[in-house]
Amino acid sequence: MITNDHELITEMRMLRDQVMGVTDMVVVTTDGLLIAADTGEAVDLDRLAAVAAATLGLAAGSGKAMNKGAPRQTTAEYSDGFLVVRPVGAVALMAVLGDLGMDVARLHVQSQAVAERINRLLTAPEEAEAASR
Amino acid sequence: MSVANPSPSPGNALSVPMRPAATLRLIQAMADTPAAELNGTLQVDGNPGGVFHLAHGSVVAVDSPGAPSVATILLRTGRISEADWAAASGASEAPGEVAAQLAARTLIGPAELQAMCLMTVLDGAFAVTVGRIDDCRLVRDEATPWPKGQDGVEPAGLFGETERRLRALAARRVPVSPYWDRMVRTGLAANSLSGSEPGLRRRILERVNGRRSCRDIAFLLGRGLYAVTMEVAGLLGEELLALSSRAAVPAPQEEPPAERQSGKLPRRRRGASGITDSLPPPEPPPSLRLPFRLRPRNFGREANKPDERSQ
Repeated sequence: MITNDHELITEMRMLRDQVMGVTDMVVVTTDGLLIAADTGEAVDLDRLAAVAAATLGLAAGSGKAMNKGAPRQTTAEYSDGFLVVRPVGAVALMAVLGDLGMDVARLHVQSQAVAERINRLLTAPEEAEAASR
Repeated sequence: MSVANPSPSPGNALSVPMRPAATLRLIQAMADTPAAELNGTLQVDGNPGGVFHLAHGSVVAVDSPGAPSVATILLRTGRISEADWAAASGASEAPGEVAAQLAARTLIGPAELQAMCLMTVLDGAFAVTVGRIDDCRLVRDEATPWPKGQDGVEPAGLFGETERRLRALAARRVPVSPYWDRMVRTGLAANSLSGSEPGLRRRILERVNGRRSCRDIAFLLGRGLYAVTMEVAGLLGEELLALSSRAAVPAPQEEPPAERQSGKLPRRRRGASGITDSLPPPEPPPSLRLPFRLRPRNFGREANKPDERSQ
């Protein structure tokens, strides 16, 4: 279920423009259903969506087991880049792929605001509908 | 090859005006400082920003997200393997020790490594100054652990070379921003690729996909930012490449949209997606509405452009 929502795509592209080294990004439901993507052609979207959901799920389980609360972000550094996963509200998450030189500190700051805006975009219709009832 | 950044204290932190020229002036000012007194870092805030490492009056390293480091260049070009780098860098984190480890393992000669370090210093200075600079601080640290014999670049020389590079880029027929411009291939590029286009130009042409900046391609290839940017400028001038839409240069503090400035949350307009005109409404999940029109799975990607995750 991938969307063409213009505002959602714009948010993702803005993050890529603002943070050096960001190469790809997806927004996914917490159970791994792809919502939107801004990626190159070589990225396997379904696999990235599943991996992102599993990564955050594992982090949430670890946090619970260690009494550390809910995860705010997971960052995995590999020999050829980064995978960063962050929750988007209570029902979705965003996964960011970056190259070796990605500005992780800037991503941490910018992605927080982006996650909040994406959460509003995802939940606003439901809020509006509830308000109209 | 990095140095722990000490916390700036009021006594040794120096704020300068927020202009690239100010940074260049500061580098110039460093040249006038007695060499023995200049140990520490010049921390440049901005986008991409960076950190200049200073030892005994010379700039011995520049770390910046805008330009590939020595490690990135060695790894991306296949000069050394990840395992070899991990073994060499894991032995000691002290600057200079990695070089000694690499030399001891006969992975790369000290002279070659030194040349690469100097090249990345020049490239890092270019990367920082060609970007946006908000502020910079000179943080003196007499305990900087760089070895005494570590060669670096004199600030005056670095200042001159960086200025020359900035002028050279600005003088190109099609000046290109290494960070904010993205390129696409033109029809002429296909002919060029099918012919005998040499070396770096071919590799750049192969990796241009409309999403990547010069900086992204430099990291992919493990080449210097300046070298890649100048080649791209040349390819643009020869019309083998064309500029894609330029990304909006991020401001230091992005202004929120007018709707958010007014304190209202952004709202989706009812029916804006057109879903009710074409498809029956899908059964929504219990906690998340996705009232968007379904699209082919390749949406959001640049069409007909090759991509590459690794070389």
